[in-house]
Amino acid sequence: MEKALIKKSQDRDLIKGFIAGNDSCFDVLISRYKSKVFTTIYLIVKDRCIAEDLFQDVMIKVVRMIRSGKYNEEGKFLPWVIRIARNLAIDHFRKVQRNPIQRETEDFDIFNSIQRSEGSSEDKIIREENARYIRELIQRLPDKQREVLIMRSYADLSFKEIASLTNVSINTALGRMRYALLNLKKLAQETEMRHNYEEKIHG
Amino acid sequence: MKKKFTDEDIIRFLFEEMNPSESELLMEALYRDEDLWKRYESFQNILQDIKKVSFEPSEGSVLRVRKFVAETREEQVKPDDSESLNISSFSFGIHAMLVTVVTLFAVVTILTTYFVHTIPSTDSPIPLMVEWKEDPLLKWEPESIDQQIEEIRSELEEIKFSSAL
Repeated sequence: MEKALIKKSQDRDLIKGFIAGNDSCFDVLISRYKSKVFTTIYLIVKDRCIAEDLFQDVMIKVVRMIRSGKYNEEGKFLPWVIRIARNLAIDHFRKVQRNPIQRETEDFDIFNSIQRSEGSSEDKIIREENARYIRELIQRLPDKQREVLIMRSYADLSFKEIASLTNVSINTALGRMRYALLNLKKLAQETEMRHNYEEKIHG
Repeated sequence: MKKKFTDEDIIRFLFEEMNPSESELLMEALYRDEDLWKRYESFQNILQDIKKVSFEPSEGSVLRVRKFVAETREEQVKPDDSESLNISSFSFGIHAMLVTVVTLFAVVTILTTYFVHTIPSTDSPIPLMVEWKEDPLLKWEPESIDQQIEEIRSELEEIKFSSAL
């Protein structure tokens, strides 16, 4: 009964409960946002292992900041977490001083990581293939466009929040989103054309 | 004059970031403007595809976070403790204040009573102090046994002296 109530609670109530010593409140927050936070990190860093490490670092930092009273109740929880995630990802890039290299073994992990869904195994494979294809297209976008697309589509940040986070105007954030979507379409068409061409060549 | 909607407007509409009146105008425009409809459909399809991508952290990562939460629970200052600390310090303050007030009240009362009863007021028609009259009965103190013996002895001496005469 109590667990059911906690699950339905709003973020701010869960945070209050967690501060009061109820760990299950934080469990609910993790379950609620783990996918959005992880997807955002993963699409930013483009590396599964780094994303796993950063996800843990982000959540640990979130715990410490909430406990030390640094969480501002007026703000929304998810945008705040995404802000931390983005900053940690930037710190990571600064540390390695180079763009992350995509690993050869990554595809295997991605198949396991795509959200499990109902349906036949055939449907599941098709969905997973589609998701992998779209992820690859997203990762080919220019950094700034990819960032806006990830933050709006996966992290649920408003254009206003993205503008504030990336120090640009709302119009610039909207413009980047427009280019991101148009480029995705273009990339998809190019890939499709190449695929058709290869099919013709190889019979 | 009819408003011309840009791609950015369509994106705001798809992400539900457009105000209701503007949304209504855009929906009306979608019925009559074929080009606008095509652009809308194209963006909608891309966004639907994007939504298909979702990743989950591994169970291990989530477990490590939960373990950290459990292990570091003791480090945090429990709000209940701090609250009780505040309440006890608050009640201590109240008690100290009450004791001070009562003590001050008692001191003031004693001093007032003392001064009122010791300083005679000549102007006052009613005498504040009743003049003290010495009552011999009140002054009487029981004699000690030694004194009594001494008195008896002196009386006996007198009797002896008078009988000798």
